[in-house]
Amino acid sequence: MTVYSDLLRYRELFGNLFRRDFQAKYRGSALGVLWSLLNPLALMAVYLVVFGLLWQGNTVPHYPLFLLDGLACWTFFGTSLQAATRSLVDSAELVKKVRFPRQLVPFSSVATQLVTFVVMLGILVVGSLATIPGARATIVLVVPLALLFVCFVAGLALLLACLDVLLRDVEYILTAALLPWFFLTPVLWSFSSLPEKVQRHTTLLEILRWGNPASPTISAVRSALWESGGPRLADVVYLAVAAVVSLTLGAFAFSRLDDRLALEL
Amino acid sequence: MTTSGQVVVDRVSQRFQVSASPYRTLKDVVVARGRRESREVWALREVSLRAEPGDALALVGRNGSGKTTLLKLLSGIFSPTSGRVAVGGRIGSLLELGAGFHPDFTGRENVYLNGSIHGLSRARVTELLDEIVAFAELERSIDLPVRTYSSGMYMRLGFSVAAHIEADVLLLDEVFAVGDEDFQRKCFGKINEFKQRGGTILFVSHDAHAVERLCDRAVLLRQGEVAFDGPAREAIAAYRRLLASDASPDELAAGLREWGSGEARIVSAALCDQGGDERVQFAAGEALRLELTIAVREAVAAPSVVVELRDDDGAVLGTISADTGTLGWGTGRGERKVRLDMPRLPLADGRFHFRCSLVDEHDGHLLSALEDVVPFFVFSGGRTSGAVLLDGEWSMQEIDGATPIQA
Repeated sequence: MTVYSDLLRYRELFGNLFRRDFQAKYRGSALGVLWSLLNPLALMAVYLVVFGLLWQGNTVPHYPLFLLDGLACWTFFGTSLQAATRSLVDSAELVKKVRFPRQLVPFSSVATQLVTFVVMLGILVVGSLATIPGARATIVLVVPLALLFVCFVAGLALLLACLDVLLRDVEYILTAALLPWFFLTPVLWSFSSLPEKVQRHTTLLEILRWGNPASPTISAVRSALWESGGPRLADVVYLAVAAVVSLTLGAFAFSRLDDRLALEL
Repeated sequence: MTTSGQVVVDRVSQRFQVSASPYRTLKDVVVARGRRESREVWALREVSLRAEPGDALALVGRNGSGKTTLLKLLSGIFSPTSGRVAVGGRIGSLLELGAGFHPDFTGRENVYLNGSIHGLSRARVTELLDEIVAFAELERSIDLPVRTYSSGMYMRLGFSVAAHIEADVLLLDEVFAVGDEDFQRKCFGKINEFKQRGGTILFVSHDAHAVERLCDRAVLLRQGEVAFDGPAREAIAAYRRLLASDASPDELAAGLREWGSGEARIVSAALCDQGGDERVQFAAGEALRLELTIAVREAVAAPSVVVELRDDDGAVLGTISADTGTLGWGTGRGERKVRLDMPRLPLADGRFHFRCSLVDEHDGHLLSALEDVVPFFVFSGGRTSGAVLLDGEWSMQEIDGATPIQA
């Protein structure tokens, strides 16, 4: 498990890589790091106007919050994976010249996106406390659940970054897959609000619910903020298992590749 | 088990897959089921060597002989196909100066980033920062983004960070092309300091002079195998013989190019100073001797020898030639030496090389030409600039009736 414990051992290097990625994103812009705050706010506002006010064909209670909770998770999920997948290939020059714990590179990409995620969650916690009294008792659960979700994303990110080194198509496949994946994941819609005739296809719905790893994991984090009575146990268990499996897969792929990394790039 | 500062390479082989396209694509996987059109190249074959703490070991050999691969294996960038590599203690590797610098970051930020990549703690970098900046001579530009740096500044900063890594074993790959003579001297000083502290150095260079200055022992690699392991001076001599003996046209990159009909061949060329010591660095206006070794295979009439002085871009700066008949060219076979003494080199500053050729006096055909031989540096020490060393007598004369300028 040194793949992950190196994060602690080399935390200064990780901090510097993170600063490099994070500051490089906004360097040269007048508002600088403020953009990492403004971007999610703007995104949230747009979705809120389009899907919360203009397009009101849904029956989900507290829809704006439902939407924004899911969106925060999905944005973190999608952008992290996209950024991390390319990260090792983009750092080829460094990887080929210096020996250092290279798994820190995709993790640093994830950490960059994590800033936005945390900001969004902070805003949403306030939103939830203000509008959904029923969720107040369990809202503190959002912290461990979001942590598990971050682990789930980090493992996947490491796995994809390794695969992309072996096969450059991975980043394009991922980009192409993310859009349909977004619509198949209950972010804009929820399972309970689907029309009658879809509800009858129970097998299909079960596959959609459990076959898509983004679905129960996002549901778990979201429900802590949005659902009165807190998250469902099944979702939480699924999220925990997904996090462990994803971290294991990532570590396995990375340790298999680590020694050959510089040769494949 | 290796002790700190010890380097052990035990029967190491390294295979590379070389394929036409740099990346594996989905098409390759589906169509060829993962088998790429590729061939195997053995960069290293059964290489064994050891270095003890305090050793300074040079790796010499042509391009592609496996020197850099060996350094990369030692630094742990990848693992060998077979065999064992062990390095005791902390490794400092200078495979490329400034690897990992971010162009948009200031010099200072990059020092922290680069330092932590090489394993220095933030606190330690803070302690060393003034020293690093002073060594790189960048006091005034350390807070500018490195994209605004000249390549010299960039390299100096890279070297300075790397030189301050606290390592037990230092791996250096051709890092002495940095900066001017003064800075190079500082680099040598820093590395010597490291050596005296008992650190181990493995050093790749084409610069025979640097090798001799720094290392007592050298390993000559040839096509991935150890061809010689012993005193630096002998290893360099062996390397020179190797360069002269098997110059094949596909090894142009080795820096030695040879062509001609070959009845008589210039097999080697060397530059010496007045004392007869081989050198590649000269001060402007210094005396220089070019020594050519000519091997005669078939008896040929005395050819003329032509020496062209060229600058780094290959432009001819001047030529000088002689009829070897007047120098006493005999009819016999075997080797002979031709010397050209230039008492005062008319060069001021830059990197130059000679092209030497032997031309048949009668029909003018080329017997032998050696391109790019003995690249050398000339330093002006700041007194003058440009390629050519200008020389003249100055004088001054008061002009009658000139009115003094009103203050």
